[in-house]
Amino acid sequence: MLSLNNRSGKLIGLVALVLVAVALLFNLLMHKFVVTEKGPKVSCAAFFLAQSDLQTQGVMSLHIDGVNHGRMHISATVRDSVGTVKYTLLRNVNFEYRYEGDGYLALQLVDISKNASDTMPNKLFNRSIFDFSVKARQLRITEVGDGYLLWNDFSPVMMCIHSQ
Amino acid sequence: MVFTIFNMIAFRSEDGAMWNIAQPDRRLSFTTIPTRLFAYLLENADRMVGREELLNNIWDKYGLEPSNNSVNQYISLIRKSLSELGCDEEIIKTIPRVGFYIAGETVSYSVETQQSVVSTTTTEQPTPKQPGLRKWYKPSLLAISLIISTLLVLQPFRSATGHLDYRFPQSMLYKIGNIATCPVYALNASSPDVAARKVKLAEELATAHTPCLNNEVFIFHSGEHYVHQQSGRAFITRCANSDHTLSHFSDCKAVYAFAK
Repeated sequence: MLSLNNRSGKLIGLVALVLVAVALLFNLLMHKFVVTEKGPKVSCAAFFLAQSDLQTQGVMSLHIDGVNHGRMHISATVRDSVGTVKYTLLRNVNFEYRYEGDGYLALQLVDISKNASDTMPNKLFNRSIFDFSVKARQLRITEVGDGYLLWNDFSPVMMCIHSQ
Repeated sequence: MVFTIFNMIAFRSEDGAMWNIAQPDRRLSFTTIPTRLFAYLLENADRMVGREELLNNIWDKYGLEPSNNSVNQYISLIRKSLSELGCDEEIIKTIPRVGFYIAGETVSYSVETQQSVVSTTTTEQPTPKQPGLRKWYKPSLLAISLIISTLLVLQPFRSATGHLDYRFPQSMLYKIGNIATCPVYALNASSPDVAARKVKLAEELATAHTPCLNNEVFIFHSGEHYVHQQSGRAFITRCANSDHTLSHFSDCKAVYAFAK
């Protein structure tokens, strides 16, 4: 009969139990206070054209650090139906993010900085590029080959290719 | 009389000799009192033996005066000796405020020799393999707990080895047709009828903004609403795909159209 009902057996059982319990506690504390989920780093650029009643054409670069911080640089021109430049867009967006699964990142805006020559109204930007009208937003990223599709709530909006 | 304890240890009550059956050279001898004490407990196996009973039968009966802690000291000595001979089982159990107890199934005896051991119990004896197993299960338990603990401690540091906790999902591409010489892919499978509609819409968007130039590929996506009523959102991107494997894209130009 293999049992732990003798003294040294009990002691060894206790030592084993304490070892595992301490290691488990360490693991849980590390995950709660120190460890952050790590995902892929992305650094890519996308040439895009957003077509509605106005046409916004430009380049956006996206950088996310694989942990919790990211930024977008967007440069574009907005033209009306006859091709006249109505606005220019030159904007940097800094954000914190958290991965929610299935490609969804929950974005928390840190700041949006506009260059002096940026004349695009926020309302139009929110409607035609990314809706940053509220501080918390979702962005979805999926991989296609070695590139990334960037999605809003409804549809892909950009194809982002690795920056050289 | 030779007692066999746990099929591992032999104890001869005549001279107090005790040895390991598997390793007869591991042997020790008790002096008179512990010999008498152990023999008494073994003879009364399966019965609770009170402290008073022991004092009477081991000391008083022989005109000896026990000290206060005599019983405990000799019981400790016997346990230690059993352990030294490799028997870590708790053979002599202390029942607080009652006395001592040896389970009958752990003891058998023979009158003269080890070879003619007569079992006093009807229970099955342990197989000869068990002492070996018993020898290893404690180190094994300790080793397994050490391995588990080490893994638990190292696990939070796995990202230092380049481990990723998640990856972005892969979008599948489904070929739905061609625009001139450029293949068109959708992000979800569709029926031939819907695929044909999608190709038509993709062609309209491509012609206006990103025409097929030189065997690039198109990736098209639209909501059902857009396919049927041309309202809602549609997306098309034209990319160069030099290796024709859909694994490396470059020079992409995307159009995102939304109509009310």
